[in-house]
Amino acid sequence: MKTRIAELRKQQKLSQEELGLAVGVTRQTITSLEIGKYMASLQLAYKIAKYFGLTIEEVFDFSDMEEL
Amino acid sequence: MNAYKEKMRTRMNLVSFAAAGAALIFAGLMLYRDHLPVLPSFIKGFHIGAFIGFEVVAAWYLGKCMRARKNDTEMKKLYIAENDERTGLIFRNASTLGMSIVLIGLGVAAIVSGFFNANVFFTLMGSLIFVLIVFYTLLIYYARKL
Repeated sequence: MKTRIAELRKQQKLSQEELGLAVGVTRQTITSLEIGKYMASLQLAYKIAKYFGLTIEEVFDFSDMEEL
Repeated sequence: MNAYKEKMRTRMNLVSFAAAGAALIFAGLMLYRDHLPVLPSFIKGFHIGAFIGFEVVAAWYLGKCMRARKNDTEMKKLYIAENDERTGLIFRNASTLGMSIVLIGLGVAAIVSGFFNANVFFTLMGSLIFVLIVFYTLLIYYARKL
């Protein structure tokens, strides 16, 4: 899944470690989210969006999500 | 974070108790060594290695927890490392696949060993049954809990 985490993080001059510490995950999890290898849980997506003052849809791109 | 601090204190007490208990048991076994059956040196070496390894890991873990308790940032990092959702998913996936491999491996090994040695067959079959009982007990527990 594509996300705007890297872009938003760089705008705010934050390191992955700092963002991870703020939302309660490791630096590796932030890396995986940024490169689209890992899909965040609803709780984590909410925390990240809230941290940047945006909605979940504004941070995470659901357009390529498979429909059943 | 207070609940985690409390959990860590309980865990530290348990680890200390286990380390002290293991030391006492090991010392007791060493004192009564003459009354125990004579074992191959490899098994003795394994026992000593396992005991020393456990004591070293326990001391390292207790040191890590004690340092974290003095520093809130370290405590938060430790909490995050333990509760990170991606790490949890990695462990769950590895455990699921690992369990399947262990079950299939034990089953195949038990069948093959049955053609050669009854003791090995019953040992492997016992292990397989034990693993299956533990697995299905946990499966039922989590199916009811979640």
